[in-house]
Amino acid sequence: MGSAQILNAQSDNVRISDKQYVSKQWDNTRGLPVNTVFKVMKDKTGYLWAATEEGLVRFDGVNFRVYNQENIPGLVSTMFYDLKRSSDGGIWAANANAIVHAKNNRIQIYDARDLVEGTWITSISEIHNGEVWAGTNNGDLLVLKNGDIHLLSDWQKVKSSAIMTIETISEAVLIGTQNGLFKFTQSNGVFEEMTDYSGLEVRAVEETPDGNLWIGTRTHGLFYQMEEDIIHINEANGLANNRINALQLTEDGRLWVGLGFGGVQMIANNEIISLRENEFGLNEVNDVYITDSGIVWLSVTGHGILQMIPADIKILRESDGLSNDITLAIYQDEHGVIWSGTASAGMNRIDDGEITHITPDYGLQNGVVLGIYGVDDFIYLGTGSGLHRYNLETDSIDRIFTTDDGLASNIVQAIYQDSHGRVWITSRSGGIHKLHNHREIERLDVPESFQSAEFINIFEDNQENIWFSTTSTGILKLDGDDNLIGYSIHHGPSSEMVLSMYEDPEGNIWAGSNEGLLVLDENGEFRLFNRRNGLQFNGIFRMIEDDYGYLWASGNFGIQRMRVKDLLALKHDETGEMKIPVRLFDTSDGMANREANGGIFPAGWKMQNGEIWFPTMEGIAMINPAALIELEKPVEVYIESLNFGENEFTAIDDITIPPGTYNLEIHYGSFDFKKPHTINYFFRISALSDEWQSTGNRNTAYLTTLSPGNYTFEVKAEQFGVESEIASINFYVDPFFYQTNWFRILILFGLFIAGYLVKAYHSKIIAGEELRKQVDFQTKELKERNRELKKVLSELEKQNQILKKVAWIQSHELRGPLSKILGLLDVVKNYEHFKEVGKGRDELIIDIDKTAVELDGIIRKINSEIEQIDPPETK
Amino acid sequence: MGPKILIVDDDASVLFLHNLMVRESGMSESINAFNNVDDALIFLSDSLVSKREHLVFLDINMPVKNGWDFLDALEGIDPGKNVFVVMVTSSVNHSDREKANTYGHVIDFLEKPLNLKSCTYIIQHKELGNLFTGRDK
Repeated sequence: MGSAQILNAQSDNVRISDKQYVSKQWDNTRGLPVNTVFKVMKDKTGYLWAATEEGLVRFDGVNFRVYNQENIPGLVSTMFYDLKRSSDGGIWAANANAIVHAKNNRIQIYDARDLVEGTWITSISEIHNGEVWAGTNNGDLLVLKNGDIHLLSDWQKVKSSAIMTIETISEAVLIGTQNGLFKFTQSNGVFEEMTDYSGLEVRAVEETPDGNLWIGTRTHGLFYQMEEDIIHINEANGLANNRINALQLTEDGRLWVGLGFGGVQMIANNEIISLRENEFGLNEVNDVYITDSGIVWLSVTGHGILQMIPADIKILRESDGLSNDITLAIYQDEHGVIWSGTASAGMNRIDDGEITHITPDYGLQNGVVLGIYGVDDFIYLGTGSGLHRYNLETDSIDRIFTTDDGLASNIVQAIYQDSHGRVWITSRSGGIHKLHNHREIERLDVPESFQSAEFINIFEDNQENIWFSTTSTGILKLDGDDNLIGYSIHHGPSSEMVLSMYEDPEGNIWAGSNEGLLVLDENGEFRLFNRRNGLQFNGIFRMIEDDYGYLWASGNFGIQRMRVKDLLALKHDETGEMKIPVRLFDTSDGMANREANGGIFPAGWKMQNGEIWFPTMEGIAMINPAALIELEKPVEVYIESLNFGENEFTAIDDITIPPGTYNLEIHYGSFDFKKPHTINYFFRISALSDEWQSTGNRNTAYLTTLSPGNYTFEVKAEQFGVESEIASINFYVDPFFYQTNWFRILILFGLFIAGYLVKAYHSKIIAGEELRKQVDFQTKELKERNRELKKVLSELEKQNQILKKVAWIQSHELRGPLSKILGLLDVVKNYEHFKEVGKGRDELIIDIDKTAVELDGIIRKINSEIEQIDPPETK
Repeated sequence: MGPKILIVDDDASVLFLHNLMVRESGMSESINAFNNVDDALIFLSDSLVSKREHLVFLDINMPVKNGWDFLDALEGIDPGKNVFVVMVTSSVNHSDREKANTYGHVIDFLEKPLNLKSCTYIIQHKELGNLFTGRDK
């Protein structure tokens, strides 16, 4: 804010230098538990925390997580009223009856119920020595020190009424109460009242870098406390409301004021500025918080959180003074005056922030301005009713050229003065003309195929060729020798529309078609690059190179930016597979409407100050490329937790997962509060694959059953072709007993032994080739015979029974008579040697005979038994 | 007069042969042949078995009651093991020998038919001590 003016929507002055914001609102329909938020604050990790009466809320740009008594053991009340950064990078939260410390996934509760009976904690701050002070609604000051909470006794003597805010400033602690402001000086440990504010309810305090104080009160507005003086600002000075809830200083010295009624106002250079964002109808703003990247977070009663992202693309609109929101051709003349056509309300002249309208009143016959170009003291306008000549000296349209003057058509598309001073006018119906001396129009003969062409764009390259492109039949080139050469951009039925052209640093000509970007190669043929190669959209309306090595290209989906050197690499890539990083700018960057306008000339202009302006359906998109260089910074990816069942772990835990766990989830994200929807995530798991697996914009990876072992889960994020660093989490999957190492070793040992035996056996076989052959043969044979043998075996068992029987007969029945015969024969033989035998020889022989017959009978019996046996050999 | 000899066998020819051999060998004058187990057992139970004076030549395989039945019954008649038994069989299975060892009365096995040589062997059998020699001492 260089100028001392108070801007508002009705102002005729341009808001070019003003801050513009892209707003997003978060309420209970979009993840917040409740619509009233008291305070938001980011921790060092990157999470945004919010204090509400329905819990402490954590937000990463996409996902909300609510901490309340249901999921935090020891928490009794769901009400949170204040937040402050803790010195360890976390957050101190004032719960109604506890002091709460939050850091990443860990919430610590310091119960203060004994000390806050009948009241509640309203405010909190960590002071210089690491103590945490908490103020209550009955005026007590609690101190959290070494894990214990007690009342601050020194304060009891000073204590008057409810504590509204505690602010730790450079050398002191300020305590704003319902009834005055108190200062605790760290060096002497003394509390003293700042008597200028006696009786005032002090709700907010901010310290400026030079040690002055901004003090916001509930009923008396704002005070600026300097060493000697106090400046009082209230409704009388232009403050929207005397009730101040919140104050926030920015790095560039602006003070944001959150009001009890009337939203927010900004004070810069002692001027009060109202913001467009008040249109959101936010009445009571409880807190204003601004992050390092400049994003403003408003905590609002009844409206949740309003996020205001500083717009990367600023928009100049009808409400800022343009004659119409639909803007067409844009041109800056050599005096720095910017001329911009509209779709129905003539042309705007923007001169050092002043906007004037060149309307039909000035002699403009048609409100639609398609082409604008300055030549000498004239600005030429291409319209639907001829070429208009605007005289800068008389400030009026002093001549209109039509078909009567030699134009091929009254619909004039483009005007351009080349490096030789020639002025080119193109129109529909194949019209390419030269304008001589601001008076005569000379029409060029164009080749047959271009006779009905609509020449919408004129481009001059460094070889002094002039390229005229069409909406239907490709490009016509006029070379230095006045030869006209036609180029077709496609081989086939594709569109031949070329709305824009560009020459790269290596002298190659690029054409922007509705199917992508084409480069003209050495063979006179165009090669196409499109979304496959990283473009955010294909239809290109206008290409402009900035001073920082980027090419900006507009289209129906916004404006995309790519590095020129990437474009060159793409051109030289022979695989056709190459992808380049391209960043998209659209409504999430400040555009009121993402649709840029094309088919006009010039459909965008690089201003003398390096800014690039593109016409859009809602105002002019103004880009300051210098301010957007740092956007290349990759997003930061983090792993929130690893979950299975009810278990939750973070990366710092020692994670062991029980065997058989099949529903593992890993939650990750990035702290992108601007464009989280444009982030794509990729993960991989060491030991499984080196390939990255895409989860798109999703923040969770689901892992099914993993074998036992150590794993590292890695995740990275990609935004506009720029990759983040890798975040990782390690975990160990426990084995079942049969998956353990000792069990494996046992099995291995067993296998080793088995292997050894096989080896030993094998060695024996190898020892003799014959033996090996035999074994081979036998193995085969054995298989066949095994089946046979089983059958034979049962047979044999049966036969064995018979044989046993036979053996028994042999030994008992057969031998019995035989031995008897032998005995009797012995008696007969030695008859004379016996004293008295008792039987005659004849009798003995009859006995022998009888026994022999008996023996014969037994032998017959054995024969009949043996006949039952079928020896296997006979089968 | 010598010890009392009992010969138990169902075969008459065998009884004849064994009777002859025992007598001819001079083992004893008192020879009692039985063609069944029961008769032999009655004879023994009627005798005074408190003295060591009975030697039985016992066949195993016999109808109705066999040699084992005899031995079982003998346990009851002569628990003091004063009766000596020599098993005489046409074939000697290992299992039979094992089984016989469980009976305290059995002192040996002999193959059928007995001859003079086997009878002389029995007379000198150490288990029989002075059954044949020292009877008068």
